Formats: sequence, structure tokens, C-alpha cells
Amino acid sequence: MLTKHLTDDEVQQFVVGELNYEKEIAQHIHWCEKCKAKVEVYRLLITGISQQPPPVFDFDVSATVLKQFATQSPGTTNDKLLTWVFIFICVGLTGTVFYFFRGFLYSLFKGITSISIYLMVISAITVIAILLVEMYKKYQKEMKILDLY
Amino acid sequence: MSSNTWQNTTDRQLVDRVLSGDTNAFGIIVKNTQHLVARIVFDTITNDGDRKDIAQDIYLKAFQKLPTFKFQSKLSTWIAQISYNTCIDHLRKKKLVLLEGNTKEQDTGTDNDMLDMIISAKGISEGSADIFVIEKDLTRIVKKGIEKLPTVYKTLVTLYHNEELSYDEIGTITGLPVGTVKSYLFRARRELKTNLLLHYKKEDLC
Repeated sequence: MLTKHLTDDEVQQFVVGELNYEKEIAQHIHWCEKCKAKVEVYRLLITGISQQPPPVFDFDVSATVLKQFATQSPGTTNDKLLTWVFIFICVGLTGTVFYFFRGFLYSLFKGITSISIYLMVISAITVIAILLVEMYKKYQKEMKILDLY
Repeated sequence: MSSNTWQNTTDRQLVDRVLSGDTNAFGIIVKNTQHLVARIVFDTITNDGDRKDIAQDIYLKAFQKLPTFKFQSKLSTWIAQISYNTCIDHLRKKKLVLLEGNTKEQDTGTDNDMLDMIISAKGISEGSADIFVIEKDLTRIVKKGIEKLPTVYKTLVTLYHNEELSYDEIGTITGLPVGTVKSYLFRARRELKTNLLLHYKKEDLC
């Protein structure tokens, strides 16, 4: 038989029926007033928890949700279309800026050696690539939460 | 299809019907899972006004993501996972804390004093849960205790004790390792026990 008091975790495990060595524990609880009291408190607590009424939404969830789905089918979203529209607008705007300011841009880089221009371009591409990879990783991580199953 | 037949329909059959365009089948999924969704939403979201929007958001996500469901868990567990993540995201956006409750763990000395008091004042005999004066108000007192718990603890306690889910299922829903689920449950029950004993002490003094 156990001679020292049960820990709080052991008492909890005993009450929820998770202890493999229950017989020894049960014997101890039978003789030890303090542990017996702890067991009774936890039993009372678990009774109290299981007596809690289940929460219920105060609206018809099914009807409300189905009403929203009347015009949709699973998996269809406007996200992809929006993404392509956004990309198209961005490319269009960038192209327009380059077209109208081509003279200014040319004069801006005119005095710079070609090696410097290469360095700037490579640096810019590297930074953009790193940022894009980071963004993609973050996106994948967030999406993985919902795509696990 | 009659409601009795629907009740016997498996997750796979329901999902197949939804994917083939039968939105009524999704209504059955909603009916089958709304108690679990409600449990998670009520445990995490305190604002009544937000709950309706969040519930709709959860099922909208589930509907949109249904083609990616791979039947590696129960459909209800998958929807519960979406519910939990949606609620936690909502709390994060509102910058609400997840592991901070209204109570602080009491030192064990307080518990021991009160247990001694219970033993000496009432005596403990086998199956003597009825010795407590508070039993008639037990549900109310425990409810108050649960409300004071940090959001994560609250959810774990109700999923384990009320929904009777396994540690693995709770881990899947919350994204917590099974060891962490167990450890948080121990702490949550300890806090609830302390709360119960403190209440008992108050009543005893009255």
C-alpha cells in the first residue's frame, strides 16, 4: 500500500479512471482521510462540470447558413478572379509608369556604370525573391491549419 | 430523404452529396455538428453579437474547404478544428489573451487548510459527496468557476468532460500536443477545485 499522500495529478487521474495502478491507489484512499477528501472534491467537481447545460445558439444555424449557400457550390470562391484582377491592375499601372517616365528613368541611369546597374538589379531581385518566399511560407503555414484533413 | 435515413448516413456519404450539389446534405452536417460548434464558440467568444457571425463564418469555411476534407478524422472533429481556429483568430484580432483567466492558482496551503476543515467538520465516508452543503448549487458554482478559467482551459475542460472527446481528438481540434492537453486539463481542474473549496469555505462561514 502507498504510504505517502497522493499528488493532485494522481487524484485527478484516479477520479477520471486513468491510473493503471488503481488498486494500490484505491487502498490508500480507503485509509487516508486527506486523500479521500481530495477524491470526493474532485468527484463533486466533475459531477458539476458534467451537469452544465449544453450551450445552444439562439438562431436556426442550419437555415441561416443554407440561406447564404443558395448561390454557391463548395470550393467556389471569387478569390482567384480577384487575385488575377489585382495582378492585372498592378502590371498595367507599372507598365504605364514606365512608359510615361521612360525618358526620366533613362537619364537617371545614364551616368551609372553597367556593373553598378547589374549590382542594383541583382540586389533588388534577391530582396524581392526572399520577401516572396517568406510570404509564400507564411501563407502555406496558415492554410495548412485548414488543409490538414 | 427522411430524417431517420439522414441520421444513419456516414460522413463520406454526406460529403459526397454536398459535393454533388445537394446543399440540404450540408444542412444535416450543420445539425449534426452544431452542438460541438456551439460549445467551442460559447467557450471562447463572450460577446453574443459576435457568436452568430462566427458560427456562420465557421460553416462557410467548412463548406468552401469541404473538397479538401480527406476523411483522416471524423467530420465533426474537422469542423470543430475549423471552429476553434476561427474563434482563436477572432480573439487574436481583438488582442484578447488566451491563457490568462480571472483567477490565479492558489497556493496548495489554502487547499490543504480547507481539506482539513472539511475532514474535521463533516467527516468523510465512502461515497460521501453529499456531505457538501453546496451540492444543490454545484452546477452554478462550477459554472462560475469555468467562466473564470482562461479560454484555452475552458475549452479543454468542456471538450473532455462534456463532449467526452479523447485527448487525441482534443489535440487535433486545438492543435496542441496531447501532453499539453493533459497538462492544461490538470491545471484547469486544480483551479476549479480551488474555486469550489473557496466557495465552500465562504458558505461555511455564513
